[in-house]
Amino acid sequence: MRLLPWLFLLLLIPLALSLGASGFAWSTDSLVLWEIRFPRVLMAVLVGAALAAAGVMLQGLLRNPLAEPGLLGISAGAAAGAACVVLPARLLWPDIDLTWILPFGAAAGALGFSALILLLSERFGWQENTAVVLCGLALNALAMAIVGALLVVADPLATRELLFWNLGSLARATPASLTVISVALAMATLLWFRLARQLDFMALGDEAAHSAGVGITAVKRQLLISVALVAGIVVAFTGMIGFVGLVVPHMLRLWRGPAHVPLLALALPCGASFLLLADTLARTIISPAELPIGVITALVGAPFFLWLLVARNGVWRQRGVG
Amino acid sequence: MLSVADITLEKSQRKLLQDISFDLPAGQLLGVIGPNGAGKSSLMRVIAGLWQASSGLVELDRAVIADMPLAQKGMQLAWLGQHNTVAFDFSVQQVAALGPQEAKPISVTAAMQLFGVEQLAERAISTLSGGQQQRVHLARVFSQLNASPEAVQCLLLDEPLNGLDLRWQHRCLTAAQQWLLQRPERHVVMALHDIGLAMTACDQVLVLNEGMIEFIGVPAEISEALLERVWRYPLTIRRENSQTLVYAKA
Repeated sequence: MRLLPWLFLLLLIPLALSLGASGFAWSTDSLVLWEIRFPRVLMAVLVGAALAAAGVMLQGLLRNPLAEPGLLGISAGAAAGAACVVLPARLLWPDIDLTWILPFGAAAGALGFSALILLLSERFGWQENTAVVLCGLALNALAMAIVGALLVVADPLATRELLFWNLGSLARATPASLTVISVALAMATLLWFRLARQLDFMALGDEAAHSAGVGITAVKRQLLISVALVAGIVVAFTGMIGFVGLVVPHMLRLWRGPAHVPLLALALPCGASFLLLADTLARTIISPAELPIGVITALVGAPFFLWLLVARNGVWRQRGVG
Repeated sequence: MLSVADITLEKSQRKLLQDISFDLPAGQLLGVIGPNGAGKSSLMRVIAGLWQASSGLVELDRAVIADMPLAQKGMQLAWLGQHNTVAFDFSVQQVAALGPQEAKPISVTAAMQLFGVEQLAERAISTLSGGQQQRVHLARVFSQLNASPEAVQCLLLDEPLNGLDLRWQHRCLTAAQQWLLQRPERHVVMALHDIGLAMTACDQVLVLNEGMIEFIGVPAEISEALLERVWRYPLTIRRENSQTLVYAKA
């Protein structure tokens, strides 16, 4: 049962590799296969796993099933942070390779915005899930305004670049960016598996968790920083790909329940498969042109999110909470 | 011995507790009663080490609770708060197993049977009634008591009987009393709002009023005049056999 999602992912990878603009073919052209498609497939796997796992941890941290780096403005904060780095860097050194600088800006932006979200959600209390999402909406708009302004100042014809940040793309996968993301994801995953059980206790509330011996301040700080770093680094290389961290954990919770350790273990392969499927669709559905990956995830995720809001609202009303 | 010395608690410039001092010998059940807003929950939180007192100390067998390492505090004290909510749809079984240490499955099952929630084990806790949810949280705390006979020394329950039927109220009180009797070094403190029940079930009663101790001692010494002054309402005490009833004068 536990291996099933990994098996599915393993079967999906060769399928995704063999699907291209010219239809289904195990391409003999090794250049296309290994130098263009393979890095991209690998990127989809890593980013999908990272976003879904980050969603699980963020939802546990905020006790909010609607939390997701994209919805709460953390990804947008990362984009704004990256844009703040790109602009001066391009002006000062036009030929600079941004691979090693971009993640720092993005991570700093993500960190700032996630700290804000944590403060806001503690102020509202955990029952006010929707209020926190509304705060995320405002933060999103703010960050995207910063990104837009900076990009247009840097280059009046930067609409393509803006599209990249807004809807995401896995096409910029390079060995360097893949290395950075896999190292970050590996380190974060180790930490997250250590903290996942504590999140079960934190679902009871801060006081009950504390009285059970959970060091909530340390757990919160470590989670906040690690989720922001991972989300930031992902955004730096792929732009904002929304809803993965919302849809995948939620489906898994319906399937296997809310305990965080199994949830995290499943989120990694399932997130990877989800994004790989989405990206393969994005590459092939209107080929030779290509849809931005964020379009596909939003087409799936946005209706799902609406359904979630409606269903949750019903539950709250039954319980007389909201 | 649970020893509370000169506790004062201030939050946002309001004095919630003032000069609280008492010693609770091991093996005794202390009931904390008082009108709404008297500071019962604040006192429970300070004893549990969840809130830092502005001044004063709470010691459990000469160890200062506020200075205990978190893990040790989690082991030696079992605390149940007044408002228990669970995020996400955890099942009854999963919530009952969320004791401080990894409680062995057998003790979780035993605790669930004790509070009659074993039939609901697979249900999401959010779908249960308030009283049923409270029973699950009681099972969570009691499972940890069963799991480690020598670790937990102090059981702190804040309004544990909220929303419970008489049967389960009685079950909870008897379970706490029995746990107390099993080993000599144990203590139980319960905040209660049913005065008569506290006077019936507890070895000692602490009456809080506006953050200060109005009375502490054996229930037999509590007079109608004291209750009427603290609750500001005409009350009658009726003692029958081993039971005490307190009700409003008609």
